[in-house]
Amino acid sequence: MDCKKASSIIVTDYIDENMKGLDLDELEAHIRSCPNCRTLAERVARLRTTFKAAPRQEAPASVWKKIRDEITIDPVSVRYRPGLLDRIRERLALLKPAVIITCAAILLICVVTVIRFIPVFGSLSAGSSQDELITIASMNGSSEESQYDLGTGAEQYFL
Amino acid sequence: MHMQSIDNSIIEKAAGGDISAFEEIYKTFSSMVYTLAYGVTQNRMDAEEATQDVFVRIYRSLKDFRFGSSFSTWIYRIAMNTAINVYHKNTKRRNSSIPYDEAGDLIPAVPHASKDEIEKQEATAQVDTLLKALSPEHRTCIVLREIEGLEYSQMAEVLAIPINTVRSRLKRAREALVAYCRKEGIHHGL
Repeated sequence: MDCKKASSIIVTDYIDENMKGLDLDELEAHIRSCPNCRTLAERVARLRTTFKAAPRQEAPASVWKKIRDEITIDPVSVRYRPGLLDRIRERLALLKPAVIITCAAILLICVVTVIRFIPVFGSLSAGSSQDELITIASMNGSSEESQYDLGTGAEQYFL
Repeated sequence: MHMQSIDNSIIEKAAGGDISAFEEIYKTFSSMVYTLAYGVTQNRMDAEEATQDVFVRIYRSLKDFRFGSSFSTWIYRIAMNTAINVYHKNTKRRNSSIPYDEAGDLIPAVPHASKDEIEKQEATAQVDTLLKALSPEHRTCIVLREIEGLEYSQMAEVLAIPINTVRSRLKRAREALVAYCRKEGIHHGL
């Protein structure tokens, strides 16, 4: 094993005790025979000892007070913020009566329209026989005549 | 040291707005968050600001937490990102303003400290000296591994990077520390 590879392993897996078996045996043999790598291993081991001796830090009590003040300002809005789907669902729920009333009104208008107009169109289309057309035409004709009848005795005088 | 854990029912209560349940979460994880924040920022005021931000963010995001992942990993990740952001924000602000008040860096003095407490203070001071020699990203790696005692796989999860990247970052961070100690002639305890 060369020093470059050995030093790379010493500062990581070796010092963190992630090695075992033949790899560990090979590296330890190299460390025993190489003064530079042995010095490196000792230095990194001392670094670890220094860090291990340092205790965890405790946050001052004032930090919790500040956090509590901040989160209790508006707990309701903080506690629950609905997502997009929730908001759409809520709005639809609010619109529900309006939608039902609108649909009912549209349906009513359709029904009224159908009742009012369908029989007329139905009779026109179904009774488009020649006789019926003549009857309609003759009805129209009689109305034309009456339109030009002035209703005075003058016409009868010339006749 | 290992990752802290907390009962899921407490998380659920806190997500529902129960402040005392959230206080329980704070008590369990505040030391971990503050240690990481202080390790990264190397300034007590910044660490306090970061810790506050972290827990307010946690409280507001609790309803989005999926129990499939580890709660402590989730907190570590928020803490790490927040601490790095606070560090960069405040460093930029300090660099562009009046000389920065060094008092933010000082370790609070413990009156009538015992021998054990004095040793701990010295150890903390040594760690501070070492961490200041590193970039915030390398500080994060060192704090997670050396102080928090996370395994490579846990670090990979927190940092959202592959294990080999964890390995290479640790390698660079430790090499930088060894080089710094050699250059500065630091031998005390090292």
